[in-house]
Amino acid sequence: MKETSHRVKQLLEAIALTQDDEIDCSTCLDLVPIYVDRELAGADPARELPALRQHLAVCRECLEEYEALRELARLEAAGGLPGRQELLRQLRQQRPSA
Amino acid sequence: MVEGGAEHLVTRLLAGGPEGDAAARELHDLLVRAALAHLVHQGYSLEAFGADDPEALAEDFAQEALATILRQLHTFRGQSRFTTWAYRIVINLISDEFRRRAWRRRPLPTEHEALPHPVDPADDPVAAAERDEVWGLIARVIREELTPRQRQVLVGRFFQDKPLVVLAEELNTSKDAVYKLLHDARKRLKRALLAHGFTEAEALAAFERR
Repeated sequence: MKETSHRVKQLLEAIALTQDDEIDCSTCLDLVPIYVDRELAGADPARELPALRQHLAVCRECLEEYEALRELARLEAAGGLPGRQELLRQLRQQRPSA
Repeated sequence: MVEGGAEHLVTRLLAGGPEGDAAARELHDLLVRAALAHLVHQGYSLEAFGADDPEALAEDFAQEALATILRQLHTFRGQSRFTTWAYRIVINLISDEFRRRAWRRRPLPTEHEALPHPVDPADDPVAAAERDEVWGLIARVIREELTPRQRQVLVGRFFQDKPLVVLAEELNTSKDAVYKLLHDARKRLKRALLAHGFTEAEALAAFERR
């Protein structure tokens, strides 16, 4: 019952966030690199790109991908992604069977 | 805005020829590392992709991403770092594949169209009555006013946890088309709540009280 109420709440939250005009996932994918880089530069992209912020609030897949992109962009800005061998080592380390 | 090295990469890719080929190889290597970094940060297991060689898996995603990036290269306007612009493609590919496979691995399909009844008889009677009223309205609109496709994506999304990519495949359409169906369904529900005197905040509050 709690699970069902939680799902209904998620639906009601999405309804509350609904705007007459919203951008779709492709547009989000086009804009999200700008959003991420503006954010890492210390700007306020939510104010600069409110339609994207709204999309991220109602689309959990795009939100996940935005957060993942922010992580990679943060690494890139801090000097670049780790090397291939280092990443493979990290991946093996976190595998339960490794 | 564009960093020096990556800006150079774009120029070389656009130039084509041997220099363009070399730039494509460099970009491919960057995309392999981005794919590996994404797998690491998400904690995705190789088994989730039916793979046992992480490097081969990352190479496959990088190759697919590279093809997409080269097709879309003319749309890059330099409003972000080139790497940020490129990495979004590989993240999107990996994430959607993970969601597709995770959905297929679910132990029991939940294909029923029935809507749940979220009111617990043990709830406070006043709160339960409010929830009943809000939910009764929403359930009626879902059943009677949404189109079959709007209903399918809304129920699939909110009550069966179906990813957009799975719903798009079920309906033989794009994720953007599924998003549009969901958006139209949400707008209809919002209008129905307002027409019956509920603000969105009041409707939500009914489900937050116990």
